[in-house]
Amino acid sequence: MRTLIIEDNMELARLLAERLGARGIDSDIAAGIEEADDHMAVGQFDAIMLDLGLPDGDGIDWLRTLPADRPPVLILSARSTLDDRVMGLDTGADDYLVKPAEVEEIAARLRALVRRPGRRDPVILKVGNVTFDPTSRQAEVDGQVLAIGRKEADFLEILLRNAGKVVPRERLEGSLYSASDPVTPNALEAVASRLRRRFADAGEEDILHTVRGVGYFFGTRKSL
Amino acid sequence: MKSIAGKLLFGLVVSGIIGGIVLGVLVTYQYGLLGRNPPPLNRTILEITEHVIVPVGVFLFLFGTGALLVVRRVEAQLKATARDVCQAAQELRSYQTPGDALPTELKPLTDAVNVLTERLEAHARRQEAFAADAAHELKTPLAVLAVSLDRLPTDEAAPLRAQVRALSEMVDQLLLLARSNSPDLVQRRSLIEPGALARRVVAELAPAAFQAGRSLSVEEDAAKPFHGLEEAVAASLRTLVVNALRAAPDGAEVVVKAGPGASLTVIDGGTGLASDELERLKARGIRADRAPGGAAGLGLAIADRIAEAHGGELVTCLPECAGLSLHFPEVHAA
Repeated sequence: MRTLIIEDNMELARLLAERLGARGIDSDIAAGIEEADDHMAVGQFDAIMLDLGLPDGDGIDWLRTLPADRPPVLILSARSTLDDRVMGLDTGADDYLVKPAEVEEIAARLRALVRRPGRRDPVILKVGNVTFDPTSRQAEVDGQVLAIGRKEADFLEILLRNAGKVVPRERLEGSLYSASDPVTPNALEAVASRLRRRFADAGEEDILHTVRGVGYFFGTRKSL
Repeated sequence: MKSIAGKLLFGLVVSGIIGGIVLGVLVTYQYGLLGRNPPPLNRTILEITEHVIVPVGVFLFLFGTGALLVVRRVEAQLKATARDVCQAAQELRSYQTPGDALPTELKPLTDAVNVLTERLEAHARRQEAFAADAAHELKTPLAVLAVSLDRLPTDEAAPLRAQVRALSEMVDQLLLLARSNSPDLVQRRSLIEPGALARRVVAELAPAAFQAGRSLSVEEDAAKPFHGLEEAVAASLRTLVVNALRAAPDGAEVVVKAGPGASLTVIDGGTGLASDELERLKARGIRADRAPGGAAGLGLAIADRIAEAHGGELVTCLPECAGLSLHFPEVHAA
């Protein structure tokens, strides 16, 4: 995998290239827009990492000039407000990271960007010892199959697909119950406690968490 | 007597007395009231009444009434302008007194105040631009640092990474504070629902809270929306929640309460902060948990300043509960 790092701070650019290199991602460096154009003219890149405030222009303006078949672009900028991020993504950037970002995350995002076309979610969802097969709707803990109903399976799938993130209860209710289905206030919590019981029976405690007044999230201390 | 009407009245009485004396002297001289053959007493009184008391009385009455009417009118204009200024202050925007809103005699004052406001606005803009530049300049070395840490073994890098994150958060908060103080806040602000904001911030922090052995929840109680820079208010609330998670005993639940009214309260189940202690922390910007070393913490001071820039304040909720509250001015229906 080869990326083009467009960054005017040479020290940062070289460090990024070195640390990404250690993860098998080769990089070329451009210190500004003019250099970036030169690189783009002669090289083939799988992804572009773009700083916004460049000495010879703004990264966003440059992004607009790129052809539609350009490689995916990850903006890495010091501009951290929501407006900046929304503008960056609206201009066509594929992802946005705020400086200072850690190399591990930059590498993960770059890999995800390159994977994105035709990307498939992993066939089996897994967090800690819990696995779920979205096709067969079967949940297992350490290979031990859990007996769960349809709603529990739906609930578990959404949480596993968003592992480590809080899923708002409105979203879960929207997915689990149709508009005509009357949702009692405790319906969701009942589904969650049934699931928790199944996990506890299989020896997996403390993995499905309620954030009272907000929603639910899935994860172990280690997986988060 | 400090009011203009009072001074006018005083002036009228003085000029009435002086005028009366002068007229009296003239009348006395003209009619020989004190001469060798003075007219009878009733004629003297009639002359003085006709030529002194009546003219001076009529003059004083008409002039006084006219002057009072003018003063009342100017007062009404001043009050209307003051209302506009208060409204602007409430909405945290700058105000320029229009040239024709007040009498020309007041122009030197309104011009001078307008210049002052303009300069303050320019200063606030410069400060925001400076903070934005400073934040940008600080973030680049932080980015270099974050990437350099990748060379270290994971266990050695972890505490340093936490420091870089804390520094970076502080830089973001300073930038948001500068934005909250910006004269352009009115254009940038939006209507904030305390409940939605609380859920957003809690959703962000809940997994980390769980890892630290605490839990987070949101309660809503008659919350009312308010105007503000959502990201700045979110940063304030985040600071309070992070502080509360640190202060809360192991296994405790930190509750973020939206409402009543335009307020957000973070209850940590710890010992709480007395209001004089909170004032001291707000003023000096030191860490609320008094933990030695660790991440530099301007957090609470910045959270307070952000609230203040929104016309609100950060207060302790002792003795009712152990925690801190952000209060904002409610939006009144137009």
